Amino acid sequence: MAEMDTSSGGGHKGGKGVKKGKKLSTRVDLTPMVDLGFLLITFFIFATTLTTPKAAKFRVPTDEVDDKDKMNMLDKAAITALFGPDEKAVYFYRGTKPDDPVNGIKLIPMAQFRKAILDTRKDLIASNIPDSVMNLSIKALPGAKYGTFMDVYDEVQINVVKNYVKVKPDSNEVKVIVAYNEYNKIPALPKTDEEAAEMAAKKKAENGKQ
Amino acid sequence: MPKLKVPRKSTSIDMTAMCDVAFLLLSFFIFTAKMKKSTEIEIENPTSVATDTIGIKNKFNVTVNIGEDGKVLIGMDNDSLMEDLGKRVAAAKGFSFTDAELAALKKRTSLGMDFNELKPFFAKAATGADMPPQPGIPLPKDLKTDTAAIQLLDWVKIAGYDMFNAAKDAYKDDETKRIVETYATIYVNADKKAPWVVVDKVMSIFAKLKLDRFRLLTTLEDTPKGSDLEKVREKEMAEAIKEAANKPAEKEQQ
Repeated sequence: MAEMDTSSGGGHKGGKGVKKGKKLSTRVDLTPMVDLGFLLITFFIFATTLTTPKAAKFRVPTDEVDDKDKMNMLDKAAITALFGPDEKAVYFYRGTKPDDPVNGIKLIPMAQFRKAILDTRKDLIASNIPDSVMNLSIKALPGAKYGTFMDVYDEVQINVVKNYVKVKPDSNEVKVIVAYNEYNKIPALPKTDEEAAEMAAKKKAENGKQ
Repeated sequence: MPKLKVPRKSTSIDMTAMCDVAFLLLSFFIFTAKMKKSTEIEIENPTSVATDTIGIKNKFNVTVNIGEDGKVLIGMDNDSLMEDLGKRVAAAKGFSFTDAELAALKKRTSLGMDFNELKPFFAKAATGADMPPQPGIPLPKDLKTDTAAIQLLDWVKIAGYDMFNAAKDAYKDDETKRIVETYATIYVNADKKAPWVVVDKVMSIFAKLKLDRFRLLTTLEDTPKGSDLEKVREKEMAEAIKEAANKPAEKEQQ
């Protein structure tokens, strides 16, 4: 590679005691400069691509969605995901009866949510129903965080679920979840958003003390 | 036999050209890089598999920022749009800003406070005083009963509808050269720890305005292997490549 040009340097032979001005080369070794240049380029390339936010399309119903709409839906094609303060799990059920012993509300880890959607799709195809009628209702329980919603919505995108709707949970579902939590000894969820905020503040204070 | 002389070549290479290229590229990247705008609040977006890019030049964007604590602020792309937003809000609410106040307002990338607080806030900011963070646009407790108090509705209407329609000619749809949208492109820029109630309320307010499509800002996450989305994207990619391959052939035929 490039190296310092020293050819014009040490000339001690000539001259009868006459001091000769040293002839310095005008060539500079540019290797480190090039190194630095490319290092900075790589940095800028990586830095720019990493911080660019991306946008996810989302749509909401402009009119209040009634439960009547749900009644018209195919019982088999309806699935519901309810998410609460727990970021790693969702309450999931198929059909229109949350208290159904087989397909009723279950708390499943977020990692299994995808499988639940795919299983529903398989079942629909097996019973000759086009899987495009599958309808996912996304419902939030008090104390939920936006990030959890995004995790749920991400599954909509990953599994290309065509019909989804963001709705509020009905009282029956809330009742069933309370009973489910009691039965399975899962700590009760906050009932209102105010209570959830209080609980979160308490937790924060406790963490601060420790 | 004559001695075979192997010419001695210097191992040093002239680095000047390479250096030139390196710094040319470097300056190109620096100049084209968009600086992350300093927002009024720190927002960490959730991750998602969505790949839509944002900030397309010929689009009119309005951003609704939602912080970790549920503070809601509304932001525009540049300072002249911010100034216009300030002027229009003032006109709609029956007051006006002085030039000094508008200059202070222009420096902000987003606005978020009660309409009544706007004038005193920027009157104080115009004097060069250190200002506290903006309190956020107040949201009603219940959207159904407190319909009169939905201030965000007015903000979105002014920024996303009034201003968009006033500037419509400049934001024509590229392909058809005509305007297809009634609303500007609305982005929801929410923190992943933001309470869902607030985000939900904001979305419900959009729904009230019959604004049913908008975009959520996220950071990129890998698409899971073997998922339906991956298959769809592969198909789209293959189609795009096919189309690109067919295009020059069509031109030759013409």
